[in-house]
Amino acid sequence: MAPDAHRILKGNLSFARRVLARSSVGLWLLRACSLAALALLLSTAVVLVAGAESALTSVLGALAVFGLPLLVVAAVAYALLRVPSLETVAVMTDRLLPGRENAVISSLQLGERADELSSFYSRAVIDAVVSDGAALSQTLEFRGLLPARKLRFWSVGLLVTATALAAFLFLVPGALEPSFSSLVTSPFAERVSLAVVPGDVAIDSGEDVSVTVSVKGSLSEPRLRVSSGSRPPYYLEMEPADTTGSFVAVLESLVAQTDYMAELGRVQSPSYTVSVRTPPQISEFLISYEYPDYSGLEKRVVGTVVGDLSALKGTRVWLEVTFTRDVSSAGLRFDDGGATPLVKRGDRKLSGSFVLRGDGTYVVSATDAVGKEHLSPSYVIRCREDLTPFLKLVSPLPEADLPEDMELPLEVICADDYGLSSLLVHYYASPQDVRSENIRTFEHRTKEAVLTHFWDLNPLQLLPGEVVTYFLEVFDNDAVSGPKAARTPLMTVRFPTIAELYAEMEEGHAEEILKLEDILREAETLRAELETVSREIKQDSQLSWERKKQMEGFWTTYERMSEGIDGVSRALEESVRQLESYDPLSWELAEKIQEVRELLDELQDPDLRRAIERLQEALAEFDIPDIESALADYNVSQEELLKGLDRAIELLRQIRFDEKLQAAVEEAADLAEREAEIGDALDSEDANLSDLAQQQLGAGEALEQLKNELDKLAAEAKEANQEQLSEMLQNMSKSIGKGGLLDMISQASSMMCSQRTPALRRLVRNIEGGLLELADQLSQAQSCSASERLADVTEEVRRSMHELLELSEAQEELAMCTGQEKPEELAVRQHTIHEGTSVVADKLFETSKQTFFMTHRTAAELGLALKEMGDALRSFESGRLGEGVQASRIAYQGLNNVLRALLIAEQSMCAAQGGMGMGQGLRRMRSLSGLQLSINRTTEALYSQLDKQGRLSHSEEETLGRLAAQQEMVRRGMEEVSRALGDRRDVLGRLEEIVEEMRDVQTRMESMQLDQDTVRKQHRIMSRLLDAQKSVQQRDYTGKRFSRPGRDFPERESPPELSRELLGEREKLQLDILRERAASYPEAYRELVEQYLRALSENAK
Amino acid sequence: MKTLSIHHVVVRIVAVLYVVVMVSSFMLPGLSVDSVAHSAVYSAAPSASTSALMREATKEFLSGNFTKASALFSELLGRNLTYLQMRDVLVYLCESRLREGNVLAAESVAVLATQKLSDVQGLERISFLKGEILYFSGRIDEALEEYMTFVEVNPESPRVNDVIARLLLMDENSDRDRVPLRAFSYAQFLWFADMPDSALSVLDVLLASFPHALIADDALSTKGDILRAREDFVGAIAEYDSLKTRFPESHLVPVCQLKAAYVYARQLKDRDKAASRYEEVITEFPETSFAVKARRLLQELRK
Repeated sequence: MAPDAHRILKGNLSFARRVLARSSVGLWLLRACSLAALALLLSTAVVLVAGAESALTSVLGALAVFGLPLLVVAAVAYALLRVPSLETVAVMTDRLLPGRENAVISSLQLGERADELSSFYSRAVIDAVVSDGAALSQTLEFRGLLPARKLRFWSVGLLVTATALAAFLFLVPGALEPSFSSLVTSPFAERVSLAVVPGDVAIDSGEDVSVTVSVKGSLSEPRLRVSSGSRPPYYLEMEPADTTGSFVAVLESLVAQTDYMAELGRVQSPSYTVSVRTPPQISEFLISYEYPDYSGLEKRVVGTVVGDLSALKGTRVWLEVTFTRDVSSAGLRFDDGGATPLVKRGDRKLSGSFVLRGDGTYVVSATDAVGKEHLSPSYVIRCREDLTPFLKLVSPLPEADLPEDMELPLEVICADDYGLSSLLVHYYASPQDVRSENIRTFEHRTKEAVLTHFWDLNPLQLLPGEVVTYFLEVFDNDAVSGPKAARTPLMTVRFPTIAELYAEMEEGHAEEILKLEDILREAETLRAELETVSREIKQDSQLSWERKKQMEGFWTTYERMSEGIDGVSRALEESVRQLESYDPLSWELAEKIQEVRELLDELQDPDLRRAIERLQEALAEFDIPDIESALADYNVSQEELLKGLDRAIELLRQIRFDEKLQAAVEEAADLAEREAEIGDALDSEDANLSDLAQQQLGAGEALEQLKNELDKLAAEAKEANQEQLSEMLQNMSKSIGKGGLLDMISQASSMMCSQRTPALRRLVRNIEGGLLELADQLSQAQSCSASERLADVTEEVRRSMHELLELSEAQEELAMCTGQEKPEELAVRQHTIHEGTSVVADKLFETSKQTFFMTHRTAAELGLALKEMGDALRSFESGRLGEGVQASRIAYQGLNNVLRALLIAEQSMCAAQGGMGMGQGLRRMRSLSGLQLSINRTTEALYSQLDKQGRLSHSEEETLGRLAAQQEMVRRGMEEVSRALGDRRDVLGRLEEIVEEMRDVQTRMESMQLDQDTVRKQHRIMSRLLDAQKSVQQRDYTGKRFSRPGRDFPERESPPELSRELLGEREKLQLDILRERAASYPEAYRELVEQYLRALSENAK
Repeated sequence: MKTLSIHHVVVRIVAVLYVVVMVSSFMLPGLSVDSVAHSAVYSAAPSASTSALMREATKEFLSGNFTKASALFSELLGRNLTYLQMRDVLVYLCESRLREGNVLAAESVAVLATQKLSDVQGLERISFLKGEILYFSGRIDEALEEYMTFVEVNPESPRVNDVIARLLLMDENSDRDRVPLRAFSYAQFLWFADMPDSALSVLDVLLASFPHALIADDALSTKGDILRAREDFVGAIAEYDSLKTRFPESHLVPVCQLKAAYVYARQLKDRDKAASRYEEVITEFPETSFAVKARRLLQELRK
């Protein structure tokens, strides 16, 4: 049994030993592999950092490729060498048997030496121990002998390092390829070689050199090392040229000898040299500009290294070129294909000249000593064109009205960069007849001019309503390209009809009324606000901060109101000027407008301004008593302002009505004139009847409008309680309407469509007469309106004067009181006078709105008198008799002053009540002359139709009867006129003769006595009428102009800066550029200056 | 034509009447131009008797005894007078003559005064009297001119309102070649010269001849005033009422209504009628100073 047991034991222990050996090999293998992975990782990292071509790559590569397998083998060998003996295994086994120390080892040792020991020990004991040991070994788990912890640790270590390696290789760019690949392949890699093309080479200065490097044995990009002269070398990166390992770099614009070589890691190509040849170069240009004579610019010589040319078109350029080396010949080549040879003036200097005709470029070609041609860089030729002149018509506006004197003032600003030659006006009244007129021929090289030319349109013999179309044209003095011109847009000037003038003025005055109404509203709001402030101060004896701030704004409001009033005043002044120019006969109306203007000027009361200033000062100092006192002063002046504004508005309304009426009168007269023209055309044989029919229809439409206007005027007159006028206007409107002039016109236009008959002629003349009659009736109605209105107002003023006289007497009594009276009784009397005067003052104010004869000062005087009465009343009430009497006396004096002013007004009104004023009389005479002319024409027509027996047909007799009635109307009108001109004894005699002659003609007509004598007398009447008009007009009205500072329009060569205000931004820029052109800037800067000016202009916008 | 001939007839009647009265006034005793001219002598200090005479003459003037005052002033003119005495004598003499009804004598004094006087006050007083003389003597154009000059030269004069009243009257009533106006001015002169009966006669003729003259309402009003002054209150009221009936549009209607009311209240002691007249003024002329006055007087009446 013992040997078997021992064998079993040994077998078991051998098995354990094998297990231990395997585990040891595994453990050491894990350790080696972990180390190898780590080494690979580190090596790859080193290569990545140092570069695949670095020296380390091959070392590390060798280590990795050869060292790491060795490491693994060594680890296995080491593990195998360290396999334990059976005794060691037995001892290790015993450690697994707690409490049975040495059982297995002793069994093994006893079993092996059983024979030897059997002599000393019992065999059985030995066998039993061995058997026990064998049994124990049978039961043992040898796995407990394995170094499980270490195996786990290194397994994890290997896993980590392998993972790190894998991650590094696949995740880090360049780690796998080329670093790792270079690492592992380096021990087996071939040797790197570089081939460089073109090697040594010679080029012209400034040329480029392309260098190609072919790399063998490496996939990496080589670099090109470049060095030139004393400059430090630098590297050029090379770009792959293809996939075969060729790389390219370009050495650009080489101007000096340059060395280069290729490098790839430690590998370098040989060094090569690029030699540079130097061509002949231009070292200097000497340019001389000879400008065209007309420009007036002086010759200019410029020395420069750049051959760019810039000059005015037509300039002769002389060019001298200096080269750096000798050249055999040279020339200029232009981009348009042209060429100019340069003449040799030395070994290196050549020159030539040409004339600038346009923009372009040029190069200088030079042939060197060896015959090689060299071209200079391209140079710019900038040819400046002479600019188009500048022309601005400052005034009149594009659509202007022709002044009465038929001279249109043309205010012109014109300029050119090198000089102006002439200024013309082209115009036509009919497009078939375009005319031109030279306004001005400018002196040599006049560059700028501001001038006013009074363009006389008298030769055109325009009629009211006719339009002249015109434009201005200015030429410059360009002798190279030919004079250039600038033109204004087409503009028109119209000879307005007086009817239009009045209609326009009426519209203007409607606007002025609206403006004044706005100002009045504002003034009323201001007053209300100040009253609130005043109340607050009285109640609280203080002023809130907000209120103070609000009051500080009052000045602005006042200023705004003041500006508004100024504006209206200016507009009214313009109306006066227009009336003066177009219709001098209407000076009465002009005077009325002037009165309103003066009233508005008076409203700009310095007292009010002072009061506001005081208020501002008091506000600044926050002095309540001062504020209160300033407010009181302000209230007085403000009240006057309000009343004045109210009155101005009412007076302007009255003026508007007068203007409307006057417009109607003029419109009727215009229509009569048009009808007369139609009549004249009918008399001529070559008139186109259908055209005349159209004209007749047009006249009908205008008359229809006039009728509507008359209806409106009648309504307005009724509203203004001018019943008589309203009725007259209604009657006139009816006379136009059904069965009246409109029907006659319609009939005439129908007849014109068929044929020209004597009946048609008579009808047209009847229409003309009817229209003249209408104009006269309107004129009459106008006078009647004025008289009616004036009579009413005079009556009102007189009544007020009577009341004031009563009050004045009462006030006088009070002022003369002896002092014996009781103060309270005096107070009662004063109160009654004060109240009575207030009532009269209110009435007078209402009356003053209807008349121009009362001045604003009258109201102011009355206000002062009332103030004194108030003071007297307060004094009497408080028992201060002396002060009361004193104030009472001043009030009495004030009342007398008012009475005096009213008396003057009343007398003026009385004087003006003669039915019509001088101006109106003259106007009426003019209208009657028209009517007389119409009567004369019709009479002559009738006379020519008399048969041989000198008899008239029945219808002709009817016509003559109507003419007699018209003649009577004219006579009566003339009687009225002679009454109006009653104080003109020189004219009066003639007028009376005219009236007598008219009476005679009328009697002849009534008795159907139509003969040569009647016609002759009618001619004489007409002639005398015209003479009388002329006489009155010459003596009375030529000097009847409102004084105004004289206007001067001198021509100026150089416009002052003020003129710039008249120009727009674009025009200013244009003018500035023209001016700068003339300035002596270097050519190169000129464009910059122009750009700068444009930029300024943009900024200004 | 018919109207024209009546008009001419009436004009002639008034003219004749005017001339008759003027001639009669011319016959009244008074100074001749020569006597006045020769009596003006100046001296440095007046004698005591001159002062006494001056006082006496003034007293007579103020008591309305113009004939006597005229005689005394004429006598004074022959004495040595200071400038101020001279001025007073000339002015008072001129007015006395005028109030006596001796227009020509008054005018002579006025002419002399214009030559002698040089101070503003004196010229002002004499200028006013000259205007009055011209107006009373029917020389309307000259009166207008004189009054206008007065207003222009003496704007501060207390007589300005009187002058303006005259001017207004003349402006308003220049119809029919001013014949009615001249008659009216003559009536006013007669009343001024304390000849109310003659004044009434002239006014009657005027109203009869020119019933529709512009001045007719003034004539009626003046008639009323004269009658009131003569204490014929009923007659005065009748004239005032007549004015209202005949010329309801006249500016004098409220004035006469107030006068009538005053007469009722003060002279006739008929407060109801007076109140009724005041109320009429208030109702019919509400927007006038007369209404204001009527309201005050009515209040006083009802106290």
